[in-house]
Amino acid sequence: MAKRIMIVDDEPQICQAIKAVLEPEGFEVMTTLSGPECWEKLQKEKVDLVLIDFFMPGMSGRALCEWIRKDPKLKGLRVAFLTAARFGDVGMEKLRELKALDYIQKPFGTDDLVKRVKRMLSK
Amino acid sequence: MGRTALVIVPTELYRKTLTDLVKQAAKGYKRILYVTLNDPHDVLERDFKDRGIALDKFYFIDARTAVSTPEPRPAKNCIFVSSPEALTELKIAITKGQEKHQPEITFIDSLSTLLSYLSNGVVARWAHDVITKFKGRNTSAVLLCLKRDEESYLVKDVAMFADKVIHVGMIGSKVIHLSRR
Repeated sequence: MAKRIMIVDDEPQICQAIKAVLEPEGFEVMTTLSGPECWEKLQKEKVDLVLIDFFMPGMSGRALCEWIRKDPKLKGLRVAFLTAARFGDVGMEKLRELKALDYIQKPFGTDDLVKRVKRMLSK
Repeated sequence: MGRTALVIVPTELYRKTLTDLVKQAAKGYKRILYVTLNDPHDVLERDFKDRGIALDKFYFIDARTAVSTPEPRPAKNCIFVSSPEALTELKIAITKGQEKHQPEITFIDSLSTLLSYLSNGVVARWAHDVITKFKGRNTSAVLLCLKRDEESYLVKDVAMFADKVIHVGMIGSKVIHLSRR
């Protein structure tokens, strides 16, 4: 069965670009444009990995991840962030606290994206 | 290597902390970019001069003067921005300032000021863009914010991209700096 990935990014073109890379690799990809929308979908859909843009208006990626970790049904969900800047030392510590598997720095290469998604899904 | 520090300061210690940090930076760095969102750059210049800080190291991005003086008198060490809430203009000015002055360190004084004009999400994204620029250029940065905003989304999110978060506080009459990393 295809692994299901949810992308959360307020820029629709980023969502579509990631979808266009991952779907031909056999993944089922869903996209959402905000933290609350993602949260709502996660209540109904079962997914294997969520890729979250760190900075979104309204609710940041960090806040969404905190919600996920507090939800008994979702707390074990694989999560990774998308971001333009490198996380600093404080951020790396926080990523471990949030149990995020990785972060993918934008712009990213398609091969690298696929490789990292596969690695995260194998964990 | 460029490092980014987020400095969280109580209001009553803000001025003193800022002066201490600027003094320290002026000793350790040759070129400093100072983004002022609170005070006009000429006020800061006078203040720095009075405290014996070498002004020739500084290049200013001033988003304060034009709020009260729509057409500020041009200054050779300063780029004026129309208002602190003009974030795109501010970002462009920072890029220009970096290209022109090639700073080793940039001060943003302060993120809390931006929160008086704009929402957490908007300021956080802007701060992220600016930090990306600093990291891309491998230059250091000091981002100041007030303790009252410590629990805001902005500070929590921006802290993730900092290499160091410094909490300034007082024990008795002594000013202390507690840092995370």
